[in-house]
Parts: sequence; C-alpha cells; structure tokens
Amino acid sequence: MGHVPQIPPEKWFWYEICDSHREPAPSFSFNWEMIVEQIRAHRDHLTLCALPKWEEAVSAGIVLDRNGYLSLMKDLAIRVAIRDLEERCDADEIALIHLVRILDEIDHSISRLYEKMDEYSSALSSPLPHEEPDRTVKVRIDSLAHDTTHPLSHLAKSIQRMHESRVAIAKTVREYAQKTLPNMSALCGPLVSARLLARAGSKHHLAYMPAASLQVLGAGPSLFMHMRTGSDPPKHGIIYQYKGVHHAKRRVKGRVSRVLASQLAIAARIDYFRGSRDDDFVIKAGEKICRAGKER
Amino acid sequence: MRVWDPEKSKFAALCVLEREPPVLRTRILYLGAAAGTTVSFLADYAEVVYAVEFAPRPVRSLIRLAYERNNVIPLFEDARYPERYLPFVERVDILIQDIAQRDQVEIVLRNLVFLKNGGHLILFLKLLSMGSERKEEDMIADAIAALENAGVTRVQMIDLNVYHTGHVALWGVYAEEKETENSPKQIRTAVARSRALHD
Repeated sequence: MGHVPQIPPEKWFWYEICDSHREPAPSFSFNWEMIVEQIRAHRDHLTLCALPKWEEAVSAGIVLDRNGYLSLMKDLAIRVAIRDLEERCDADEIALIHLVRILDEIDHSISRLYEKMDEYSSALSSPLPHEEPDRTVKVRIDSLAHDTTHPLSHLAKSIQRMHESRVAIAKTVREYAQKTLPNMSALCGPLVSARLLARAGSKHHLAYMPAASLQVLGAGPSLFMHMRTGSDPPKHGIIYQYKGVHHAKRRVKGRVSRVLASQLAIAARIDYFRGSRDDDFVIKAGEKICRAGKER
Repeated sequence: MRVWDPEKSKFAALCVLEREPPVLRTRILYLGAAAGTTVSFLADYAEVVYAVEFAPRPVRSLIRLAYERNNVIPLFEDARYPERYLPFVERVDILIQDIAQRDQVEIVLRNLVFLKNGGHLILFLKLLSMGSERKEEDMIADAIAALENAGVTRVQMIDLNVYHTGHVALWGVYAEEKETENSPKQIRTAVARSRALHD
C-alpha cells in the first residue's frame, strides 16, 4: 500500500475530485497521479457519492457535455484499473503460474512426439526379437539425432533442444516456487507446490482453500464422478506427485494425502499472509507427514 | 466486418433464439465482461457500456478494448460488492450479467440498484456452477422466484442449450422498487446503502 492521502470528511462525487486536481488556466490538465490515488482511497472507504448524474458535472462546469463526461469517466476508469492491477498482482506469482503450465505442456509435447517416433520405428523395424536391451527415451532420441540419414533425425534434435528448455524452465520454476511459496515447497517440493498454485489460480485462492479441497485439487473428474454416482472419492490429486504420497503403501496412501493436505493448507496460509519460511512449522509438519506414512 | 457468433457469445445466442434486446443508444452495465468480446459488440450499438470484471488477466484485454472504444468503461471490481463501483456508474437501461459463480443470482440482486425503472435485466445462468446436487428445474425456478420477489417482472426463461451447454438466460423488466416485506434482505440493504452513499 502506497501513500494514502487524507480523506476529507464530506462525501464527494468522483468528478469533483478530478476537478480539484486540475491545473489552472490555460492548460486545465489533470494531475492524474493525485486523482487516481485519492479516488482509490475514497472508494476503499466508501466515501464517494453513489450513482453520479452527468448533468450535475456539466452544470458544475467540470465537463462540457455528455461526451466530455463519458471521456473523463473512461480516462479515470482506465487509470484506476491499471493502478489496481499493479497493486493486486504479484509479478513473481503470475510468472510462476504460467511457467509451470508451460513446463507441463513441454513434458506433454515431448512424450507425445516421442510416442509417435517410437511407433514409426517399431513399424519399420524387423519383427525378429531385438538383441538390444531396452533403452531409455533420452538415449534413443540422442542416437536418432546423431543418425543424420534418418528421416526423423531433425525432429530428434528439436526434441533434444526442447528438453534443454525444459531443464532451464524447471530450474526457474523451482527458484520462483521456493521464493513465493517457501513453506509449501519445503513440505511437498517446489514443483508440486507450483502445480497446486497454478491449479488454484492464485496464492489468495490457495490460502483460502480448505485442506480437503487441496487434497483433491487436480482430481476433478473423479471428484465429480463421486458426487454424481457415489463412487469412491479420490484420495489425492496433484499431491500424488509428491514422492511421500505415491511411494506410500496402498493402505496408508489416503492417510498420508490427508495429513499432507492439511499441513499444506497451513503452509499456504503462512506463505500468503506472512511470506517467509517458518522452520519450526516445517519441521513439525514434516514429522506429522512422516508419521502418517508409517504402518501401524 | 466481424461476425457475432452465437456459439461464442451468450448474448448473440439470445438474439438468435429469442429476439434482440433493445440495446440501441442505451446505457448498459455488464457484469462479468471477461476479455470484452461481447462488450465490444454491444458497444457498437449502445451509448455506453460499463464493464465489470474481477479476474486480472481478462481485465488487461478489457482495458485495451477501452482504449480503442470511446464508450467502454472498464471497472476492475468484484460484482459482489456493488458499493465499490456505485460512485462511477449511472442508472442504466440494461443490466446484463454473465458470471459463472455459485451465488450468481444473489450477485444480480445486489446490482439491481443500478437498473432504471422499466429497464431490462438479462441474466445468464450457468447451471453447473450452482452446484451439481440439485435439479436444474429447481434452480431455475428458485432464480425466477428470487428475481420476481425483487421487483423484476415478466421474467422469461430462454434455454441456450443449443449454443451453450448448461446455460439458460433469464430476461425480465425491472418494475417499481417494491419495499415489500418479503423482498430479499440483500436488496433492501443494497438500496439503503446506495441511498446512504448518495446523501
């Protein structure tokens, strides 16, 4: 919150505030910076007069006619909206949300392309059993890229480059997540935290989300299936990607997800309202999650 | 030349399936303007469109649109709290709401203060957003009852399913503000609030 100007006791119409910050003749230009700050402060304190009438602005001599009124209103509205946008949006948070979406899209694209390339080679290769053992995706792409006579060698090179971008973006996502979501990152890792943030839409939404919603975030289809038909509810959504959940024994998976989600809900609130890492909390929450994963 | 596609715009679907609301040279308050696609078409006909949107990303496009048009006024506000933008909006001839939220009916009730006597109310209901547990017919009936209780008369229901799955439009005319005992509480508070602010 920047500088909040003094609020006069009586109520004003918005155009009266505009008029009070006007240069004298001959320029008559508006001091927009002051106007925007004052109008926003008045609006937040509900000290502006409601439902303005353009005729009054004309008779007060502030604008010439209806068109003048509307264009002044529009100028003001745009400036106020831009100022609100600046204040309400955390650039790091938005960057993180979009970067993690791009990251998941790259992964998706690489695996789809690779699948098609694999189909191509298995359709053409000899039907006799291979002497070569299974090779990883990366090794096969590398060897294809080196084989310049192969029709897919250029594509393989592109995929290699995409993979390099992926590594770079993942690194940035980790850094940003550890900066904007320090407590959540400490509990379930920066990438999973970033995905939760991207799905929730903003830190605000994440902080106000109940733990039970956090637990099944990203499991929408099965959740709605559960609500509609009464099938078993999903145990986990995005948090399944956290190794503590997907490596947990089948019998305790639900419990681990539940405990992790409840601790993440607290972490999300610390991240949103305080914004710094709380070591005591992280240690305690980590212990609780660990304990939930043990067979009793 | 642009095509106002009923597949993309619920307002266009309403024009195709029912009839065109009288938008020519009117003042419109549009709640849930999003990136301003429908607003840009309405602005071709209307005198002025006050466009309310609360999501940061579409607001950027909305501001860009307002730069290009001289009759689009962007308001980056939550339509749940009309008292925040009451000081900037005049009484309007048409109130359009296209907000897919659970409390979308209550939001429109709160915003009825902006509507002139005899003004048109067009409410696009996304039934799926109102909870999947209840029957659709019940939700529509409740919404119509709430509107009629708040002084909206001749409410008619237009099914937009052909173009927009799970959407209906409710179209009514706002009559005299009735301070009857059974009018919903939020209306009375909104009206009282606006009067208090006007003093």
